Amino acid sequence: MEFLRPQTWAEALAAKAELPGAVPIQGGTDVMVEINFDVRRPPALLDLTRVAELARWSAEPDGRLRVGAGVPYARVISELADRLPGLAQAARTVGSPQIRNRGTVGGNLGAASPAGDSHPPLLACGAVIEVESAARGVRAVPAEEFYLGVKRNALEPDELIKAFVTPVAGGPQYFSKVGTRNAMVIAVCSFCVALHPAERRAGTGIGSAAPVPLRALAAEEFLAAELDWAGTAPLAPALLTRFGELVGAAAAPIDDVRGTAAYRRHALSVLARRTLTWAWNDHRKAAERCA
Amino acid sequence: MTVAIGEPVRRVEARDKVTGGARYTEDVRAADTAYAALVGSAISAGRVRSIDARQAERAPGVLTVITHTNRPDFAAQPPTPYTAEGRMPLADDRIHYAGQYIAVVVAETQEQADHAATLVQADYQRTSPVPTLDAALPAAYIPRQNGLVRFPSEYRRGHAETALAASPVRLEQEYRTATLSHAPMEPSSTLAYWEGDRLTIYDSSQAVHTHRALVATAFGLPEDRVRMISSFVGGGFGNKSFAWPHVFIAPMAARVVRRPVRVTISRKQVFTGTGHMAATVQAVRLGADREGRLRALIHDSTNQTSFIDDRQEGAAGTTPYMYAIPDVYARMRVAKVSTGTGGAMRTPGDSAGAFALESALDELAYKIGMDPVELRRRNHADTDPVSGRPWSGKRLLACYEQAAERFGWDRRKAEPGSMRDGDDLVGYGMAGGQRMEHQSRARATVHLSDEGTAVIRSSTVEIGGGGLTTLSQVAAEGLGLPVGAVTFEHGDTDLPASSPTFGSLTSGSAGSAVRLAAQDALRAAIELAVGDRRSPLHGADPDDVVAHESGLRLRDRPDRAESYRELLRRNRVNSLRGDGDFQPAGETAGYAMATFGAHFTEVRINRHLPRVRVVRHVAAFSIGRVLNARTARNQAQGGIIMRLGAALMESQRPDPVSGRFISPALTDYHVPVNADIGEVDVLFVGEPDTNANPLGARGLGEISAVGICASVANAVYHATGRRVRSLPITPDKLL
Ligand SMILES: Cc1cc2nc3c(=O)[nH]c(=O)nc-3n(C[C@H](O)[C@H](O)[C@H](O)COP(=O)(O)OP(=O)(O)OC[C@H]3O[C@@H](n4cnc5c(N)ncnc54)[C@H](O)[C@@H]3O)c2cc1C
Repeated sequence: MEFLRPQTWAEALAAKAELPGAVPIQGGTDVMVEINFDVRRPPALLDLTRVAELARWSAEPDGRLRVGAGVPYARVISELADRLPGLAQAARTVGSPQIRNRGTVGGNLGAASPAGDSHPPLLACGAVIEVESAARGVRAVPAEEFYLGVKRNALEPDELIKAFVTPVAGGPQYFSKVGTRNAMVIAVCSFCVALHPAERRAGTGIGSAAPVPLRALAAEEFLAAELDWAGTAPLAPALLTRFGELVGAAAAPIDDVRGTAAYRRHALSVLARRTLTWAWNDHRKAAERCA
Repeated sequence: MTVAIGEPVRRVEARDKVTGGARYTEDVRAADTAYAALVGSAISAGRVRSIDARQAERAPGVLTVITHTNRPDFAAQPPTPYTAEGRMPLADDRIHYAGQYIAVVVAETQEQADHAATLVQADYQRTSPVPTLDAALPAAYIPRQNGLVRFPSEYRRGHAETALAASPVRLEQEYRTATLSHAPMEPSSTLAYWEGDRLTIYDSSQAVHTHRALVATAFGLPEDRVRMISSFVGGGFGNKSFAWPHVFIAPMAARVVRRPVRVTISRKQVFTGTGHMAATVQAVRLGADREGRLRALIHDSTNQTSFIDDRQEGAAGTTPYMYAIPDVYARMRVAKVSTGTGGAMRTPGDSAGAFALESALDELAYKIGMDPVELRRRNHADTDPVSGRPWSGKRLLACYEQAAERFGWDRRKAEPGSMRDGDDLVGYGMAGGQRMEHQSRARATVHLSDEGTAVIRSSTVEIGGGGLTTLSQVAAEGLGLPVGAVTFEHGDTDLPASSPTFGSLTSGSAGSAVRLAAQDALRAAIELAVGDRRSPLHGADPDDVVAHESGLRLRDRPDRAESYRELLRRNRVNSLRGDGDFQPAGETAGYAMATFGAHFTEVRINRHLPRVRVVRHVAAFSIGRVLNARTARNQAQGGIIMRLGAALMESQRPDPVSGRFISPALTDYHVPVNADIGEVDVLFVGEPDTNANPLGARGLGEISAVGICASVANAVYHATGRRVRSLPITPDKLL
C-alpha cells in the first residue's frame, strides 16, 4: 500500500486525479478501522493532515462560516459552539475524547454513514459541502444532495472534500441521539432541529433511520405553516405530537444489531418532540427578552 | 498483633501496572522469536476441501504454513473441559464453527504473518449449519459429556410434578439469556519454545499448573518437562480458565520452525477463539401456597453447545440448593449449534440461572401480593436442602436486611408503575444470589528472611482481582509483618502449585495455603527462638509466643521480644521456610458451603424513550472474612457492572443463516461505559467462617455477578408493569 503525503491542497488534488483509487485519510478514525477489519485494502492512502487549509475555518463575506474538512470535533466544540450549536452538540456525542481529537466533520462526510452524527445538524442548518477536483474545480453540493446511499456520497473519484459552508445559527438548535449505551456509541437514531426565525421556518435532520441522512420535509413544512413566530406561547401538545409523527414517518429504518425499525421510528418522534420543545422554549425566552 | 487482613491495602502491583512496569505475557521477549497468525474458517459448517497456501508461503518473511494436512501429530487429546475443546487444533478437515482455525502462518514478524494469513485460500465444502439455539432446540438432550461435572445434569427430590399439580398457586414461564462474550482487555497470548524435549510456555493463563498438565499430555511429555508461566493476566473473566486451541498451536508451531513462536490472537479471535457464555432457554415452574411457601420447583434449562463438545451451562445447577422446597426437579440439556464451544464465564451457570429463578420468584411475589424480600425469607433454606448439612457461615438473611435498609426498600410502593418522577418511571427490584463454594488443593511456601521480610512462593495467577495483595496481607498478618515487607513470586509452575485463579478459589484455597505456610514459618521462628539461649524468648512455651511487629514476643510479656532480624542473624539463618498445603475436606466437611448475595436495584425509565437506566444498585454479600475492604469492594462492583451489561445491552447475536457471530468486535459488542453506571454500593455482612477453611474467607469474584440481571428485570417490571423475560432488556422490548 502506498502512502501519499501531499503538502498542499493542489498537490492533494493532483494526487487524487492521478490515483483515483487512493483513499483519503484525515483523522483515520474510520479509515483505520476499515483497514483493520479488512473491509478494504486500498492501493494507496492519501494523507491530508499536512494540508494546512483543511484545518482552518473562517467567516465568508456573506456571513456564513466555512469550515475546513480537517477541523476535528474537539475544535468544533471549543471554537464553534456559539455559532454552530447543533453541530457542536452532535460533536460532543462522538466517540471518546481521543476520537473527538482526531475525527473530523470532513471524515464523517467522506464516510457518509447514515449514522454519522454530523449529518443531522448539517442538514438542519442548510449546509453546503464544497468538493473540488483538479480537472473541474470547486462544486458546492447542498447537504441533502450529498448523501446518495449507505456509505455513498456525491464525490467523483477524482474529488476531495474541501469544506462545508453553513449559515451561522440564527436561532436555537438542538441535536439529540439515542445509543445502545451512554458514550462511545454509534447512533441508534439521531435528530437535529434548527430554528431559523428570520426565515420563519425550521430545518430538520434525521440520522441512522434510513439508508441516508435526510430532512423531514413534511415536518418542516408543517412547522413553517403552524409555528407562531411572533407569539411567546408554549407549543401546543397537538402540534408537538403531529411534528413527532411527521418526523417518524419521514424515516425508513431497518432492524439491525443496534435497534429495531419500530423502535427507531418511535424514538425519532420522541427526539423530535423533545428537541423542538427545547428549541422553542429558548426562542420564547429570546423573544420575551426582546419584547 | 499486626492487623493486615481486611485492611483496604492498595494493590501491591498497582504502581507497576500504571507505570508500564508490569510484564504481561505479550511483553515477554525471547531471542529469535517467530510469529504466528491463525487463519479462521469463513464458513460455519462443512469441510475444508483444500487449502492453497502457496501464495502465503511465498510472501515475505513466511517460514511455514501449517494445516491439517501437514501438521505434526499430537500425542493425545488432553481432557476437557480444562482443555477447552474436545478436538485438537487442525485435527482434520471438519469445520464446526466460523472462525475455527484452519491454518497457522508462521513468519519472521507479526505483520508478515498477518499479511500472509490473508493470502491463504481455502476451498470449502459447505454443509447446512444449525445457526441458532432455537433451530437446535428440538434436538436438545442431556449432555453425554457433562461440562464441569460439578452439577449433575439432572436432579430430583420428591415428586415435583405431583406437588406442582397440587399447589394452590402455580406459575410457569420461559426465560432466555443471550450469548455473552468475556471481552477482556488482553487478547490471549502464548509464547512457546523448546530446549530439546523441555518446553517453556508463557501463556496468559488463569491456571498454570492445571494447563501445564494438559500441554504435557498433548505433547506426550512428563509434566516436569514443561514449565508454564503467567506473569499477569489482563482480564480473563473465565476466558483464560481453559486452554483454548492457540495454547497448543504455539508449541506445535515452535516445534515445526525450531524457534520460539508467539501466538497472540486478534481482537476478533478473542470473541470466537476463547469461548463465551452460551445462550440459554429456561423453563421455570413454581408451585406455592397462598402464604408464599414454595412447594414445588421445576427448572429446566437448555443451552447451546458446539458440535465438538457437550458443554453444559449449569443454569439449574445451584437451584436445588437455594430454597427450602420439598419437591424439586432440575434438568440441564444442551443443543448443538454451529458455534464454538462455550467456556466458563463469570459466573458459570449461576448468572443465567439466577436470572430465570429470581425473576420467577418476583413474578410469584406479585401474583400473591407479597413483598419479594418476604417471599424469599419465608423460603430461606436454613440447612442445605440437598445434603441436609448445616451451612457454613450462611448470612443471607442479614444480606437481605442490610442491603434493603441501605437501599431504602421501605420506600417502595408495591403497585407496579406507581412510582414516578416527572417523565421517569421509577422501579425498585431485588433478587437473591447463591454460588456453591468450591475448594481446591493449594500449596504455598513462605520464606521469612533475616531482613525481616517474607517471600510468598505460589503459582497463583494475578488476573486483576487483587489476589497478590490479599494473599500478601494473609502472610503479613500471620508473621506480624507490614504488608510492604512481603513480596510474591507467582504464576509459574516452578513454584508450589496453588489453586487455579477461577471458580472463586483464591481467597479460600490459595489463601488458606498461604495462611498455613505463614503459620509454619512462624512455628519455625518460634522454635528457633525458644531453643536459643541468647533469645529473650529462650525456654518459653512455644504456645505463648506470638508474632508481633516484625518479630516475636511473649503474649503476656511485651518486654520479652525480639525481631526476626536479630533472631535469624544471630543464628546465621538466612531464611526460614514455611510450607502450606491446603487440602479441602470435601464431602467429609460436615458443612455445606456456598456464598450468598442480595441485590437491590433502582431503575429509571423515561416513559417516552424507554431506555433503562440503573441509577442505584446496592448489594450485600455473605462471603465469610473479607480479606481487603478495597479490593473486595472493587471486585464486587466489577461483577455487578459486568452483569448490568448482560442485563441491558450485551448480546453476541448469531447470524440467522450461518450461526456465526454478527458482531465479534468491540465496535458492536457493547459493554457498559462509565456513563452507564450509577451508584453501585457494596456491603459485606460476613464474619470469619472458619468452618470453611483455616482462613475463614470464601470466594467473591463469582457470587458478585449472580442475581443482578433478575434484580434489574424485577425493577423494570416494578417501574413499567412489563415483564421482560429475555435478556438484554433493550428499549424495543419496552415499547
Ligand atoms: C471508537 C470510535 C467511535 C466513534 N464514534 C462515532 C460517533 O459517535 N459518531 C460518529 O458519527 N462517528 C463515530 N466514529 C466514526 C468516525 O470517528 C467519524 O466518522 C469521523 O467523523 C471520521 O473522521 P476522520 O477524520 O477520522 O475520517 P477518516 O477516517 O480519515 O476518513 C473517513 C472517510 O472519509 C474520507 N475522507 C476523509 N477526508 C476526506 C476529504 N477531505 N475528502 C474526501 N474524502 C475524505 C476517507 O477516505 C474515509 O472514507 C467513531 C469511530 C471510532 C473508531
